[in-house]
Amino acid sequence: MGLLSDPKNRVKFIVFVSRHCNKLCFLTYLVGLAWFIALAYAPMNEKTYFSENALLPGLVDSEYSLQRAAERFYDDAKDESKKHPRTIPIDWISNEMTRLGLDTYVQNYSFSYPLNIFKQQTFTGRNVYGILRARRASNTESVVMSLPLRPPESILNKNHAGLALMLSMAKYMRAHTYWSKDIIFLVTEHEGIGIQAWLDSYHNTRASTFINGSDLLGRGGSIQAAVNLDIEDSNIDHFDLLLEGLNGQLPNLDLINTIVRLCRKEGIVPTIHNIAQHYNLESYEGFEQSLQTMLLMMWSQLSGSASGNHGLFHRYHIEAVTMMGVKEKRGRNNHGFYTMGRVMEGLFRSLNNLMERFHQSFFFYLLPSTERYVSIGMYMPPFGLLVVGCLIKAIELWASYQSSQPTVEGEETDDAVAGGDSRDQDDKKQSLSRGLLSIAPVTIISTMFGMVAYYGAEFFIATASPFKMSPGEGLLYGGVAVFITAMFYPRLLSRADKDASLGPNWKVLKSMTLIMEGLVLFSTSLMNISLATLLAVTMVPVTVWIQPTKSKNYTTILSGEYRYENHDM
Amino acid sequence: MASPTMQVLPAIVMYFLAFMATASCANIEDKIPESFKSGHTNNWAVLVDTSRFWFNYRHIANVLSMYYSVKRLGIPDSHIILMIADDMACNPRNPRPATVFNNANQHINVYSDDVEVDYRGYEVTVENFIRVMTGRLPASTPRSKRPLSDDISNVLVYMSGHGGDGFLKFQDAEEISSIELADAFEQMWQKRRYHELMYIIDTCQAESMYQKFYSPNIIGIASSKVGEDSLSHHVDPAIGVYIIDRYTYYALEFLEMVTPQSKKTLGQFLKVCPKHDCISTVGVGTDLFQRNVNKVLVTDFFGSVRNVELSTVDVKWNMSSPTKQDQECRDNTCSEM
Repeated sequence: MGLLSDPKNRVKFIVFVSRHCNKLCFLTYLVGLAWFIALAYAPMNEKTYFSENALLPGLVDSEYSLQRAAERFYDDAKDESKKHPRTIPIDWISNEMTRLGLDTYVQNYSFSYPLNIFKQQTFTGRNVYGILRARRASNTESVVMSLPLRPPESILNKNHAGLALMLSMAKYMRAHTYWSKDIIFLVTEHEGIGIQAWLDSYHNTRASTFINGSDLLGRGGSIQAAVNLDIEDSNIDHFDLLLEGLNGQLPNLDLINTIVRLCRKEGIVPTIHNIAQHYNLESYEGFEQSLQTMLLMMWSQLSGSASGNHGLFHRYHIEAVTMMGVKEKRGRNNHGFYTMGRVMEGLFRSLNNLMERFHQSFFFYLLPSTERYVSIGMYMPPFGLLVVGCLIKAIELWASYQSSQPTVEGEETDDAVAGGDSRDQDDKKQSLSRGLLSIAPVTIISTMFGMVAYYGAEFFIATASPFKMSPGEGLLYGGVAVFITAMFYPRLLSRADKDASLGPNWKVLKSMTLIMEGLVLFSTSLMNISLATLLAVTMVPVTVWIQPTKSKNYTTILSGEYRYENHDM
Repeated sequence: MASPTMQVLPAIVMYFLAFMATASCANIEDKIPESFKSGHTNNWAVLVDTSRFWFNYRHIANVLSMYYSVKRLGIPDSHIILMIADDMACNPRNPRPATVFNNANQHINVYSDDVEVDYRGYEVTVENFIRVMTGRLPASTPRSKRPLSDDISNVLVYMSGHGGDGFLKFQDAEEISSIELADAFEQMWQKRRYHELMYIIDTCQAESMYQKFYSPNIIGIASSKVGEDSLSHHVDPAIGVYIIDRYTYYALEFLEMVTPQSKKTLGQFLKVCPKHDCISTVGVGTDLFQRNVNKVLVTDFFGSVRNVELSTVDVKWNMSSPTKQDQECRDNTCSEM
């Protein structure tokens, strides 16, 4: 009996779904996929706008003109770094910052590798940071300018130009009194590890058991925003913005909008994944370029690893972005420290105007270009369509399983589907629960295999060295071994059990797993839409379509597995 | 020794002169100076800025510019209640500390040393504003925070901030509705706290704030009609904020031409800021105002004009005797308060 819904309409709906199941699944998948791709086309998405009125981006004239000081810092930085081929010149940076009048501190940290790589050997590193105190304001808030510095032997960009820019910005900002927040100039070593150590110590947390940072002697209040710099040379072609953070978290869209507006004001091109905004977004080339940008952003987001040091700030509710100054070999544009400095000055003036953390604009979005966005409200419907095929198939399978159950004479099958009261309620319940319970062993054992794969990584790496394999190879072969065992386990188990009726009913198994799949995909989409979309696009067609096969070839290979029961078909 | 006629002669001369004086009584109204005909003898101004935060610099600049004009035209600080919700001059973001400018040319610092702010910062609340208007202040309130207007005062009320249809936002935390405001003004009328009141408001959808007034002798001027936004005038790129609003900018331009002796009329003031200047339409509500606006001087509200003339003419005032109720109220014994 339906208390909250009308049983007759429910039955009609289920009958409709069952009859057109395959068509519906196919259609919703295609429409969802096409709609998702169409989101990159300009008329389907929206132009970016500023939600935070306090920012006043680009309103104030920039006065930065310390490009010559920046050039001197650049030369000095390159000379100093030659004296330390394996590490970074922390002492020189510390001296320069103190000379500029900042409160300078050095932090030591140590780290070891997880999964027993390098046998728990510890490595050390140092960060240095200088705090420019706001003289006229109470020092309760701060903004961070951070910089990953690399030794000469590193293959990545050494970032000396970034260091020069940062020191000249510190010199400029020190000369002015209109700062309402402290500004922290942070130089870190060892990429993400140094930043994580600093953030952990700053907030008195311990995010990782492998990274130990010493206590910080100086702090600047709660951090409102952070900008990470990665400049390749003193003359760059454009600014590339790196957004993706840990686990696919993105910074607030207003921060990106501010940077894009300021870059435009100073005449330097902002790009996302090195693709600038096309001049004619409504044309086919414009759509192609936007789609490429959006897909590149999704590809970068789905890995879950941060695309730059900024990604580690997001967990502390600090909006952060990396500005990469890219030098093209055959670049047409040439922007020096003057332009870069003015962009940074404008950015920090806007951040200075903030009274609250960024909270007005979007946190979940995809960017097809620098001035257009796809918000969560725009991408969830097509994603929903992609995944709803699972649920439709699950309903259809469950309905067909129910209708194939033994019913009392004279009673319509519809009643059984609707789950109405009857004298044979117990009977039905028994068969129902047997159907449901029968899939329990399969599900539990599959989950256990997943756990073995997840927790066994350390074991695989430990067993790699006796076989003279690298840890990566050990991990790979271990994973493959788990996968093959998982595929063949029913053969090992069902030998003892010849009674087919106690094995899992394939319809129940499939419908339950489809529901689980839908659940997992929807939950993932709330956190990392790119990962969820990739999984949906690849998994949904396969899992919805797959069914037990009668083919002799397959059954001989996987004998014992998924031997369907005749009476259910 | 004087003869009897000599003793009587001064008396005769005096009687003759008195006769002449009484004979000329018929034209007595011509002898009364103009300024006493408008019905008010003193001016008050209540200037309110309701928004805080650095990006609302222009609202504070609006109010301080009005304060500057009103002081220049003669209203003293003791007759001005200035309510400002935030401190822009000492805001750490101000690159010109201790100054507030209303123009990008930065000629006039409207926050100079003789500015007296009566209600500052978080004291600017809806409750305090209504108490100021209706006079229901605790006995311990200092005189500078207490408007002591009476039934022969002209009061100018100027408000600037963020508003909407039927409300004005105070301090980002509360609102005053147009009905509350109308009721406050009615209380003022009942308590005889004004002779005539001019209400100017420079916010978005400002007209909605004076549409609900029902007390006599009020004129309302709004910078925009319902459904329109009031716009700011220009940015000062050296400070980095919008520095003044359009309606106030053009109103100040008009007031700059006004001196205490000026004969400019209120009708001319109401024509300030046509649509091509203000972009929004200036709303004017004169239905509750008794006099003809073209005969009212601007200085009746914006200035404090006290004409003192020495008259050699004996003037007999034709005052109607006060009603018993009025007399009681004057003696502070009436029950209706």
